[in-house]
Amino acid sequence: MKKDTFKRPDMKQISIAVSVIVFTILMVSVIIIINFTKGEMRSDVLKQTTNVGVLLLGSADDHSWNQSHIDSLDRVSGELNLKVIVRDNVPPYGGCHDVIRKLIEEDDCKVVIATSVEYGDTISQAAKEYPDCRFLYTAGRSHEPNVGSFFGRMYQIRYLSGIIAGNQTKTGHIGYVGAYPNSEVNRCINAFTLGVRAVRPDAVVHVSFCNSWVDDELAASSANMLIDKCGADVITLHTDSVSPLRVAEERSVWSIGTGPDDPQLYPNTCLTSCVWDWDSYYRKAILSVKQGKFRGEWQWLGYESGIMKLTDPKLTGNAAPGYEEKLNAAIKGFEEHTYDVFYGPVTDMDGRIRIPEGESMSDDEMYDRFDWYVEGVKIEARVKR
Amino acid sequence: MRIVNNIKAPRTAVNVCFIIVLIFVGILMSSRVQVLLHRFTEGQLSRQAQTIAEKASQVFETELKSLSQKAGAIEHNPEDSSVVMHSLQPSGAGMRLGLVRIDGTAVYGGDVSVLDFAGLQSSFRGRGMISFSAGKGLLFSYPVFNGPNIKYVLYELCPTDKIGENFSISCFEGMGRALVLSAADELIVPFENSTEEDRAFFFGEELSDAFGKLLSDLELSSSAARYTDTTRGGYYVFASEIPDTGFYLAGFVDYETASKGADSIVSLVGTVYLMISLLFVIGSGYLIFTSGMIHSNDELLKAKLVAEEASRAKSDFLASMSHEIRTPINAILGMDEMILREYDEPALRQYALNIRNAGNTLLSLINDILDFSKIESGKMELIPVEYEMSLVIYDLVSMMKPRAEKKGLSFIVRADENIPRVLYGDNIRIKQCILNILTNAVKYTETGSVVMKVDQEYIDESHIYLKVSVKDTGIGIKPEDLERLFSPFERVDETRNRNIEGTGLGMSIVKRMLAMMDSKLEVQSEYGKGSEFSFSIRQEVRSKAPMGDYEKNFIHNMQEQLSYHEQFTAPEAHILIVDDIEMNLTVAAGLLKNTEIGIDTALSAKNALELTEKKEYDVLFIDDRMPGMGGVEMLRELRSQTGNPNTAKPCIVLTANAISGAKEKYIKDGFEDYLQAHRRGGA
Repeated sequence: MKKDTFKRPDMKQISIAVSVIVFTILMVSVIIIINFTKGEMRSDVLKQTTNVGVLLLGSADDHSWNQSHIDSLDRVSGELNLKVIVRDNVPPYGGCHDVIRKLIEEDDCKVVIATSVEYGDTISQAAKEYPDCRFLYTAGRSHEPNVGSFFGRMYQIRYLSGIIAGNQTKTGHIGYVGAYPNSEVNRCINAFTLGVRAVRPDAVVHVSFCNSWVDDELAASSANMLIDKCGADVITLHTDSVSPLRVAEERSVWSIGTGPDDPQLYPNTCLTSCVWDWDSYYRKAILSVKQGKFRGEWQWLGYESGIMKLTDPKLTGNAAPGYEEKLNAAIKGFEEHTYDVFYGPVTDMDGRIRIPEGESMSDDEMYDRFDWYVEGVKIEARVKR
Repeated sequence: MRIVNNIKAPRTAVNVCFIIVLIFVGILMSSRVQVLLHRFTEGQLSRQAQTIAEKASQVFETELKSLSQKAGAIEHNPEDSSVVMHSLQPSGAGMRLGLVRIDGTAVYGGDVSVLDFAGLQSSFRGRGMISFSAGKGLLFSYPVFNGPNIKYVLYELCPTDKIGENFSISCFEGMGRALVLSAADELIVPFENSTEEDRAFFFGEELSDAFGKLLSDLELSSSAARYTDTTRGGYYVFASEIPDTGFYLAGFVDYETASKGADSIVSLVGTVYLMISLLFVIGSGYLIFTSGMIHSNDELLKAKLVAEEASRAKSDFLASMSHEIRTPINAILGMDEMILREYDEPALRQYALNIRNAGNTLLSLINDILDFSKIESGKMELIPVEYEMSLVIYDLVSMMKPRAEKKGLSFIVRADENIPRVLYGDNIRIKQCILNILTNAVKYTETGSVVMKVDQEYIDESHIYLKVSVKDTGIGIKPEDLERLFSPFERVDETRNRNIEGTGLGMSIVKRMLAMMDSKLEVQSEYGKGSEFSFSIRQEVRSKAPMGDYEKNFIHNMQEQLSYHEQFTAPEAHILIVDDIEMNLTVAAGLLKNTEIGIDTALSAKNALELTEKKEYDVLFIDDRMPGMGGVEMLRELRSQTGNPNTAKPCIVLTANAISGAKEKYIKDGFEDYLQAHRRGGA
C-alpha cells in the first residue's frame, strides 16, 4: 500500500508535466503560425513622414518661381505627410553638391527637389552616389531611374497673357524683361509675342535681357529703359526678380506678372499673372516615390495638367475688355489638344517662315533649340549697370 | 475497475482536449499554409503579370517601330507621300493606315480627330504615341517630319472589333485570360478566345471585390495579384501597368494553373501534420493504456495483499481450529492413556488401544490439512529427531495392512533388515509420505497387491539413503495425467475414480514434503497395469546396529509399553500446572501421579499467581490460552514480581499452537521451553 500511494502522484506529476509541455508546444506553434504572415501586412504609406529637401537658387519668398515651389510643397506636405527642408540661395553647378549630400545624409531626405536647370549635372552625379534617393529637378531634359525632370508648357500661358497684353496696349509697344536668351526664355518671348500679335498684329515686343535671374537692379533698369526708350505701355518679365513690376506700378504702366500674388501686390497696374501651380505635379510625383513606383522620366506638362495658369484678369479689373473670345478659344484649343502655340504658319523676325502652314514645331526644337524669335520681337540693347 | 475508470476519465478528457487543440492547430495551420501559398503565388503571379504586360508593351512598341519606319519612308519622299502611302501595308488584319494634317484632315486614308485621340497632338510635337478611343479603336501615331517641324502624322488605326484579333494577349498557355484597360477602365484589348461567360465572370460581381483590392495594391506597386474564391472555384486576379502607355493589363487565372502544383505543398504539409497527429494520438492512447495497466497492476497488488490477508486468515483459522480440535482429542487420548495405565483388563485395554489409534488417525488427518496449509504458506518445518525405522514401518503396516486386506489385496512388505536401527530425521514426515503413497496405492488398486519396499543405500559411515518404493497393480496413470497428479485438490481420471474418496491433497503434500527433504517422488506407471512410486531420502545414522525384523522389534517395544513404568520418581519436586480446562489438569496430574512429584494446579492465571506467592515450585507449566489473563501475561506478571519465590523459576508454555515460529515467539516472551499440548506418556 505504501508503494502504491507514493507512486500515484508520481504518475500524475509526469502526466501534468507532459500535458504542460505538449500544450506549450501547441500554443507556441499557434502563435508562430498566426504571426508568420503578419510581416507582410501592407502598410499605409501616408503614415510615414517623408523628408523632402528643396534647393532654391534665390530666396523662398521671392513672390515668383521659388515661392511657387515652396507654396505648392507646403500645400501638399500635409496630405502626403512630408517634412519639407528648404535650402535657399544654394549656389548653382558643383556648389550645390555639399548641400545635397547634407540633405540626404544628415536630414535623411528621401526626395531632393532642385528648382533650377543649373543644378542638373550635379543632381545626375548625386543620383549615382545615392541610388536610394529620388531626385526631381525642373527645366532639365535628362532622366535616370531615380531622377525625373519636369517642366510645364508655360509658353501656353505666355501666349494667353500675350492676348491680354495685345488687347491692352495703346502704343503697340510692349516691354519684356528677360533673364538670359535661352530656349526657355525665348520660347516664352515668342509665345507671348504670338499672343500679342493674334490680337494686335502690328504690335512690337521689346525684349531686354538682364543676364541674371535675380538681379533686381538690372531688371528695374531694364523695365525703365523699355518704358522710356521703347514706349512700352505694358511690361512683362521672365526673371525671378520682380522689380520690373514695382517699376510699372510706380510709373503706372500696365504689367503682367509671374507671381501668384502679383495682382494683390500691384493692384493698380497688374493685368494678370502667369503663375506656376506645382500642386498636382508634386502630389503625384512624391506619392509615387512613397509608393515605390517612381520612374525617372522627362515630363513637359501642358495646360491641361493644371500646373500653370493665368490668374483671372478680373481680379484687378485692369484689363481692357475684348480679349475674352480669343483667350477662351486658345484655352479650349489647349485643353482639347487641337491647338498649340507653335503650330504653323510662324514667321521669324527676319521674315522667314519657320513653321509652314499645317506644320508644327517639335518638342525637341522648342525645348532645347529655340534660338530664334518670331516676327514682332525686337531685342533691345542690354542695359548696363 | 471503477477506480481505474475514475482515474482514466480526466486523462481521457485531457487527451480529448489535446486532440481538439490539435485539430484546431491543424485547421489553423492548413489555412495559414494556404494563405502563405496564396501570398507566394500572388507574388509569382504579380511578376508574371509584369512580364505579360511588358510583352504587351513590346507588341505595341513593335507596331510603333514599324510605323516609324513607314514615316521615315514618307519623309524621304515628301513629294510622293500618297504614292508611298499606297505602297504601305497595314501591319495587321483590319487595320487602316492614314496620314493626317495638323487639323486632323486626311492626306491619305480617313480623317482622325485629336478630340478622339489626344496622342495625335503628342505626335505633332514629335513623339510616337498610342491612344485609344472607345468605339473608334486603338490609334498608333508617328510624326512625319519636314525638317525640324512635323508636317503630318502617320497613323495606323485598329478598329475596336479588330483589336482582339491583332493584339490579344495569351497567358498561362491559354489557361489564363488577360486584357488591356485604359486608365479610365475602358476595355482596349479584349480576352483572347474568350467566351461571353468569361467576360461576364470578369466584369461581374464575383471578381469586383478582388479587383478593388487589386487596384489599391497597384497604388503601391506596378503589378499585383490577388486570390479570390468564386463560384467557379479558386481564382487569381492580376494586374500590371503597361510601361509607356498609361494602360494596364488585367486578367485572371484559375488556382490550379497558377499554383502549378505548389498546392501539393499544402497536401504534403497536411499529410505530415496528419501523421504527426496520428503519432500523437497513438502515443497518448498508448500512455492511457499503459497507465491503465499500471493501475491494474496496482489493483493486482491490492488483490494479492487481500489474498495474502485471506491466506493468513485461513492459516490462523486452521491453526486455531487445530487447537480447538486437538484439545478434545488430547483429552480423549489422555483419558485413554489413563485407562491403559490403570486397568489390566485385556478387553478394556484393547478398546483403549483402538481409541488411541483412532484418535491418532484423527490427529494425523488434521495434521494433513494443517501440513498442507503450512507448506502453502512456507511455514512447514522439518523437525528431525532420532527414530527407529522399524517402528515407522510397523505403524504403516498396522495402518495399511487391514485396509488392503479388507479390499482383498495382498499387502507385501519387503524391508531390508540391515537398515540401521536408529536414524536421525523427521520420521513423522517420512511416515506421512509413505502413508500417503500407500493410501493411494490401496485406494486405486482393485485386485492384486501392494508392495512396499524399504531399502538403503550406503553413503558414508554416518549417512545412508533411505529408499522407499510402493508398487501396486492398480489402474495406473496416463502419461498426460502425470503432471496433474501433483496438483492439489485434483484427482486423476475423475470419471473412472468417482467412487474413490479423498481430498486430492495427498500426492501434492508428498511431493512438497519430499522436496523439503531434498528428495523427489518418482513415478513409473503403465495405464491399466499399475504404478510404482519411489523416493530416496538422505538420513543420518545414529545407531549402526541393524533394525532386524520390524515386527519383532515392534512387539518388543509394545511389551515395554504394555507395562508402563515411570522413568523416574521425584518426591522432593514441586510443580505448578496452570490451565483453564479442568480436564487437562486432571490428565496431567494423573499422568504424573506415579512420579511422586508434588503437583499443584490452578484454573486461572490469577489463581496461579496467588499460589506462587505462597509456595516455591521447581517448574511451572502454563497454558497460553486462558480466558482473562493469558499465559504470556501471567509470565510477565510473575517475572516482574519482587519477593515472589518463583520469579526466576523455569516456566514452560503448554500450547496447541502448532504453527512454526510459535516456539521462537514463546522463548522470546520469556518461557524456558515450549511443550506442544499433545501430551503423551513419556513426554
